[in-house]
Amino acid sequence: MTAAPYEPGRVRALLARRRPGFGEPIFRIVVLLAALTVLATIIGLVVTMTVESRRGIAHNGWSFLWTSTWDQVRQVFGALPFVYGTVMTSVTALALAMLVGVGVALFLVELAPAWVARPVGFMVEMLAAIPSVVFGLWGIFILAPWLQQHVELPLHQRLGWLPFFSTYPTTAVGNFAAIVVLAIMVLPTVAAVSRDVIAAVPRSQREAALALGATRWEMMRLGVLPYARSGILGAGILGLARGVGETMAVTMVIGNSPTITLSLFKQGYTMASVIANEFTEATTALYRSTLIEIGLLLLVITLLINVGARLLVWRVTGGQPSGGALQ
Amino acid sequence: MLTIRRRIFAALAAGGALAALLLVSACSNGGSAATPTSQTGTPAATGTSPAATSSVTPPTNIGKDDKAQVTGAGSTAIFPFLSKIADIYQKDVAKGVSINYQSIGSGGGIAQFTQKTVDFGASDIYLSDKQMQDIGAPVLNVPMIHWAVAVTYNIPNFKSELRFSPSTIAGIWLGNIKKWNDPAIKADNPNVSLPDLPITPMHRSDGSGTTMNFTSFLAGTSPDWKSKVGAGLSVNWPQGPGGKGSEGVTALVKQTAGAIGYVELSYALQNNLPVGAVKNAAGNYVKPTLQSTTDAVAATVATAPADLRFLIVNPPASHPDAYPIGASTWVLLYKDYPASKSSEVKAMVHFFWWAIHDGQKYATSIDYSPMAPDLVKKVEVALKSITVGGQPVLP
Amino acid sequence: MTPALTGADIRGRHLRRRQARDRLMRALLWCSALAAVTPLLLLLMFVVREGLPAFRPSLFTEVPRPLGESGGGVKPAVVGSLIMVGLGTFIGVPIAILAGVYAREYAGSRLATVIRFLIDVLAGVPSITIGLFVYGLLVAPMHTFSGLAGAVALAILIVPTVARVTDEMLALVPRSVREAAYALGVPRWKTIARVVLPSAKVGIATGVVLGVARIAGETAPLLFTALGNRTVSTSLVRPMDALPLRIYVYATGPYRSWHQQAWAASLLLVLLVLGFSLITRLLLRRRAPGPD
Repeated sequence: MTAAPYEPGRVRALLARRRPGFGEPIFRIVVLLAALTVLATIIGLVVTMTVESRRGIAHNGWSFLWTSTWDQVRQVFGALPFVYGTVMTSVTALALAMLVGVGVALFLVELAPAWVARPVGFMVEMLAAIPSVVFGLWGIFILAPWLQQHVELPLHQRLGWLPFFSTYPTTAVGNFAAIVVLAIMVLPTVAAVSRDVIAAVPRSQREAALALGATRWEMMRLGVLPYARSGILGAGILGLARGVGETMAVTMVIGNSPTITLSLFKQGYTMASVIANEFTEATTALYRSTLIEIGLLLLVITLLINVGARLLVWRVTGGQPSGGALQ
Repeated sequence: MLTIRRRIFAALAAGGALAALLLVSACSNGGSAATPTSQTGTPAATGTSPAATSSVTPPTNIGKDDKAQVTGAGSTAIFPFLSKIADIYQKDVAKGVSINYQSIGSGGGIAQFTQKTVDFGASDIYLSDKQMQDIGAPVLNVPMIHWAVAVTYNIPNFKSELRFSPSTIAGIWLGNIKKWNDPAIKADNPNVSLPDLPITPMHRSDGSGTTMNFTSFLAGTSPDWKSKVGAGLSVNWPQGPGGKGSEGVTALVKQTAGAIGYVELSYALQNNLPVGAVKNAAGNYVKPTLQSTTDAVAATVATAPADLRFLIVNPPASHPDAYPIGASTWVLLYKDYPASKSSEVKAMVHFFWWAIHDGQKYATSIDYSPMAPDLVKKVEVALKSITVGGQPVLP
Repeated sequence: MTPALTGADIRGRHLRRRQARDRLMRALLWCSALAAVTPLLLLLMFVVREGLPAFRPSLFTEVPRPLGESGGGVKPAVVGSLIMVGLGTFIGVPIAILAGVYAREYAGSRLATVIRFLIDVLAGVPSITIGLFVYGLLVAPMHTFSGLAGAVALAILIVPTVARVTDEMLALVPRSVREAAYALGVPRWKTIARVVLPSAKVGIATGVVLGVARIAGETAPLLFTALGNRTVSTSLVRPMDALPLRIYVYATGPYRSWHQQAWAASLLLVLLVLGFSLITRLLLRRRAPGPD
């Protein structure tokens, strides 16, 4: 850093130019306006989408949420396949991501020597910075075909009696590919927040466990994890929010077929993907309004999930913003 | 500030267009697709009096001094053709005109045209009466080109050419035919040994005129299809993965062993995918080719109504060599554009004027069928009726 | 060998079992770290391998060729991304920094919590819905897809990242700095603008760099706003192309040359993101040896 900003000479220079003025109120108003812009954007978002989806809401009614016909020819719309696809892929992806993500977080905080922790932490954060569309590209051409040949086919052959693996994986794209891509994309969020939460566990917890003769793992299991539990749950929910809202990579690998199925090897559809695919081509006002209604639904779901997660994480980390800047 | 810039542009373009008009007004040539004009203005034109009236056909390169960026969106089926002629037009005719065409699907073309967010839309199906009403302003359906909906497939290590009857195609997309060695497919192809491989039928995830033509064909030939699915830009597909645009479906077929899909012919051929022969009303299995599509077009277009709205699927049995799933792409234009869009609209109409004349000759090299001279005449009338701020664009 | 076990034996066996479990769990944690870094390494490997062949100057200097013809480049996307990311940053960053200042320096603790919460909420909004919002806000009323609409969508996306980092970085400026200035009678706003913000500038710059890297890779909010453009266009009131949009279209298309260019464009984006991340690392390391 160059000259410290509070060195006496500089302060004197500032004082020399001091004169009574309107600086303070103006500055206060400017920063207030900036903060209000954030508020206005959120309100604008919700209001615009509510207004523009009114027509769809009026036409589709509540049954929109639990019917599954999506027929723009007859103008019959049901959102269930998209809601199901979104929930199914993001929850399954989250389960995978939690498994690895919490492990990485524990590894980084409790186990890894600094020379390992630094690059590993950096690489996990990098994962969050890779654009979604690049994941999609990699998913289509590399990951999905590989999964189809080396994971989906064997699973189908050995465990085909399970409903999840019952369909022969005819295409590389499908729910399974979407879940794996999504899990990779959610991982950094889960890992980063869990790491912050675990790092926030008081040292005394660990020292107490070690003093009682616990092994490192027992220290983590008995001293750290119970303390961080609700924060890790929050990390999971934040990851879920990210997964639910993820659009491009999923759209590129899920197969875009509005079917409700337990089978992981069939194609599916998500709320974000149907908007991405169909919004520019909604030929009638009702159709367009219905897609915005799905957008509103998606917005409400992610907002609720986010709020819940923030509250959980804040309780643990004591009100400090968490999750690192990178997610 | 923006309006000022736009005005300057408009003035420039209008001036340029006027100069071009005076220079070449005598050079009119009857405007048929067979006689491309010279690409530069003829000096001899300066001597003649500017007696151009609306009955005179303007030269095909009328837009050569335009300067504008034209935005259009819609049909993916016309994209290979449109991108090619737009490229040639900018290179050889009007350097200052760039045509920005986004292939978002015919449904998208109709939607964005209705929303008035693009200068023109493109759709593989003409606008319905209801859709024209919704727009609330007079609009034109202007045909540009014909093509074939090809049934394309991907069976590894398989060299034979396949034939399909309409009921087999319907059975495959309905999910009743699940394997390539199904008896129905065998019946169509008695001398071919078919593999025991699951069939994955691909469809369009977006609103598509290709889907419209394909499902119209199936609804017209298979009662089962008509009652269960019907015809539309985007139907309630019984099964299978969806790809976005002709590009997406072609990619899915290419990447999936056992896949079958329906796409505009040039997408299949440009990507070295085999295309199947389809049984027509006369009972012949016909491959989609330039000739068989042109035959299909001839069956319908001769009687095309003045509003230029027609379908060319299922040509009657009187055309024994016609491919049964032919299609056309329409450009959707407003009859009157606001004066503020003057430069864009002039450049656009001039481009389409060139496209229905000289542009047509580039169709065959990429497997599209050019419009017949009779139809071009009707299209000329439609293009001439376009006005910007009340003034006709073409003389 | 005696049949009876002594207490020590039991404790010993118990201890061995505990230690074995400890080793197992540690091994699993190492494995999960491996599992977490593998996707990144694989992705980078393939992006480099598939992207390099088409990573030529022509990629940046030529416009797309007609369909089915090889060659050409993604110049419209490079130009469009530069314009929209630049303008989005220009609009979003000042708002974000000032909002961060408000949250940390002006709002009472309860109000600050609310602002911070709103910033987090905005960060959690799915980017596709931002596209829907801007479509209704700008595209439909202006009757054209436009680079401006794309830039506004990106501006909304950069705000939470930068605002949050500003907030955090201002918190790190020691209280003594402010007090020193106040004690000398410097007004509060001047203290913030001339003393506090400059001391946090490296940290804030980090946030800006991160935010730029993030919006440079965004696709979903541009689908309904910028739309895409196959010709080089610098007009803000016309559709505009962007690298992620071009990658999306090319990746989902059938042509080999499209795929190659999609990989090459991805390589460019990934290099950008990696480069930016490394820059922020260096900035942060220079700033302080403290915990990061």
